[in-house]
Amino acid sequence: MSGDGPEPVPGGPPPLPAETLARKVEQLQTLCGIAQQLVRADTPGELLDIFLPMAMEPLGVAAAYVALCERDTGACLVTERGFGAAAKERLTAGSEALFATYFPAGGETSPAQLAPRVLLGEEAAAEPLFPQGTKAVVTLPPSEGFIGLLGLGAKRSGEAFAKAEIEFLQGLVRGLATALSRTRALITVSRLNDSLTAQNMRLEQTLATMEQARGELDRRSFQLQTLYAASNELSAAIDSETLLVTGLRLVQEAFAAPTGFIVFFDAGRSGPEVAVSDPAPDVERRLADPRFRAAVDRLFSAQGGRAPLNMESLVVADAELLADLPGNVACAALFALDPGSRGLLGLGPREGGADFTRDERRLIASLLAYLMVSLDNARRYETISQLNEDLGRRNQELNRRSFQLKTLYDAGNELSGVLDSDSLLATALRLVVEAFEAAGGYIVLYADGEAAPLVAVNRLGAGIEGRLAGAEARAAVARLFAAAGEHGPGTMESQPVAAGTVLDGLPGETAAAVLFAPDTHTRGLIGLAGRSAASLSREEQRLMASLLAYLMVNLDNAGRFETIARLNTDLERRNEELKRTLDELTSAKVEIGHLQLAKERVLDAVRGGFARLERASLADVGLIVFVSTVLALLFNLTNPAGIELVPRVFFATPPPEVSVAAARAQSAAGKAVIVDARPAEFYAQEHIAGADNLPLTLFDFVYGMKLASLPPDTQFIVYGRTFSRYWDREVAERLKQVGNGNVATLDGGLAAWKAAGLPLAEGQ
Amino acid sequence: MDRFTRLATSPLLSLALRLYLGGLFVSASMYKINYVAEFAAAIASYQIVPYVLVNLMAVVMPWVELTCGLLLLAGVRVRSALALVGAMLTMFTVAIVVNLFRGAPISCGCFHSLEDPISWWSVARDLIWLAMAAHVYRYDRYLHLDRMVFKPLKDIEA
Repeated sequence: MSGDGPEPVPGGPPPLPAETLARKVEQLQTLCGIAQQLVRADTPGELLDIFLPMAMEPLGVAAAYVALCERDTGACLVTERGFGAAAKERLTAGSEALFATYFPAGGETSPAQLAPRVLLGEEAAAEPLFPQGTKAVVTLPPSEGFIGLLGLGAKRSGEAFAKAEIEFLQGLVRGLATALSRTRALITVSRLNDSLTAQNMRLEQTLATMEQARGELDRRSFQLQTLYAASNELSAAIDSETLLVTGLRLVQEAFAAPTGFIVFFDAGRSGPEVAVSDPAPDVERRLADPRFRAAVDRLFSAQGGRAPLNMESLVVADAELLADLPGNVACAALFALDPGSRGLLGLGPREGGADFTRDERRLIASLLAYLMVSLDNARRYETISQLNEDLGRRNQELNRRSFQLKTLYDAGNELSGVLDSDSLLATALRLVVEAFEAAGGYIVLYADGEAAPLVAVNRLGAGIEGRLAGAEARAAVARLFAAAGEHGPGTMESQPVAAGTVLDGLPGETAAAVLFAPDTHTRGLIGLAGRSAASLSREEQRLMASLLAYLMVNLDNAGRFETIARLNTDLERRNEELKRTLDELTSAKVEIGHLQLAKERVLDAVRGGFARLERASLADVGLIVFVSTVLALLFNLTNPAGIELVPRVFFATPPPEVSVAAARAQSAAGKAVIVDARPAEFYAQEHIAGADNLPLTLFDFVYGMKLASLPPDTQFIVYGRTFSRYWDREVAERLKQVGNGNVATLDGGLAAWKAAGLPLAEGQ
Repeated sequence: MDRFTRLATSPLLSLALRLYLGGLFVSASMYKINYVAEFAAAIASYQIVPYVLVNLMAVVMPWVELTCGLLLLAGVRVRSALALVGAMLTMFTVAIVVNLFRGAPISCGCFHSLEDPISWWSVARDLIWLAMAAHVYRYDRYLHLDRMVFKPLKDIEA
């Protein structure tokens, strides 16, 4: 740091010469002057108008222009001096491109651009957007509100712009920018002021309108209050007459009309309903006159298609039409609840004679609408009341019927269980007396051909029964039946004895009597004490008829039941008999079965026996043989000439046997006698030569003749054995018996002899 | 021819034959029962029956003949009796034929002991009797004592 004089700041501008300083001061003074002038301007236009000559003057240029553009709106303002209108137009037209070139978007933030840009000489001339003759252009430093540039033509002197002049220009432009900002602020304030003024005016207008509306609202409020009151009052009333009177009063009050009337013709009613508030004496009479109806009809038809139909009304103010109506009618309204009903409201002149405005007519219509709704409600209410009454009546009716039906039901229940006539009569009588609230009663039944009637008595003295059983009462009942004649009760029917008939012969307590006939030959009568015939209503008579019908049906049933019971007993008895018969039949059948079986067996035996007769049977053969054998054996046993069944010889020790050769030898030597024991025929046929024939049948004879003479020790050799008879052994046995000890048989017999070839002989 | 057939098959003829056969057998049995020893000898002479049975046969057979003959006469169990008669006749015939072939010198023994020796005539006679028995078996139906007894019983069925 040095102490001698101001030292130039390193890097800073060099110190200026005094001449330069003097010029700068001059420039600044000029600029101050210009700034003072510029403050006077109120709008950018005025500002430019003031600015341009002041800029041209110190520089000595003949022509200049300023182009400005508002950033927000893009509106451009061009002011020129000396360039001419064409240049201005050209600038205006090309302003957008021009500013896009020289104030690129976002460029304003760089500090280099905050300084006004200067284009000189050729540089300015080269830009085709600039007007012809532009020698220098200086851009306005960018600010919030505007972008813009100042263009200068040639100096009058024709010189180029000096550096000092350029600096002056830059200062000038800065001043313009400042002034523009101020102007812009001014303009904004002015605009705000304008808008406030306009708003104020609108508010004033609104206020006026609201005042008007308030008046309207007041009127409406009045009408609504009227309607509200009307609705309140009308809804309180439920009959149409009150409604009409109330409605008329409300209308009169609302419109300050001292006179008026309402007439209402409803469908299904002969005369009109009328409410009148008019001192004139004949108004009410005329309204009630039937001809008035025609006048009302005329009024309706005169309206054509506008005539009210369903819950509609129409206000009529035509004086010609109203002239027919009674009283002094200033305004009339037609109304109809439905196509069948017609109503007319007539109002006399208002106090003060004011006409009915459109609003008021509407109010009349609204009031009538309320009235009609109420009338309709009233009508419905009346209908409902009537229906209610009807319902009540029917309910009562139903109650009565229900009671009667219950009585009948009870009667049915009680009577159907009972099967003997006495109990039936007693039960039925009790039911009748209870149902008819009689002091007492009796039932008596006289059957033709039966001396004693059937009687039941309830709550009456003890003597009644005897009186009813008497001939007098019987005759009285017969008289009553006879008096009824053809109109009397048929079978299973009943008929009350007409009120006023003299009940001679019947017990004195009888106040009402009903005849009934269970069948053609039975006459029945029910008598009630304490209830006269006249006091029996039609319903009660019907109930009585039904009860008696029940009684008769059940009597009939009881009769049938008794018959059935009797028949049942009969049937049981017969069943018993049948069962017995059946048992007998069953046992008989069993017996028959046994007999049948026995018969079958016998027949089988017979058939078997018979069949056996027809053929040879092994059994019969066996039987025959057996019987024969038994007989034979018995006979043989007892027969002296009987024989041994098996010959004794068969079992005896056989005699010694002699061989053929020995026999031949002994015979030839005369030491032995050969005996042929066979029958003579066989002997004759063939025998051993020299043998003697000694057949058994002729033994004694032949032995005596031929052999008895032989010495006792003679050797006898016997032959003649066959398959069927041991002749040899039998004869040998006999020979021994007659005393010969030396007897033998020939071994092998004749066959062995023949086989040995020994001599044979034949013939005697 | 028809007439002959009718005659040949007549039940009356059959009745006659039955009575004849019955009488024949009764009469034949009489001798045999009375002279049983002789009859035994006759049986033995045929040499057909074994020794041990000859006597038994001689005792029983005549009684069988007698019973059958009586049954035929009475008309009781006719067919069974006829079956026995037929069987006996067949037996006799066979025995005669056998002994004829043997040449045995025996008499028949049919009715009594002293008869002519057996011959083919004896065979023919037996065959005729056999035919009669067959006829009776086939056609006889009259005078049956047992049928007469049973008939009413059988009528129960109807």
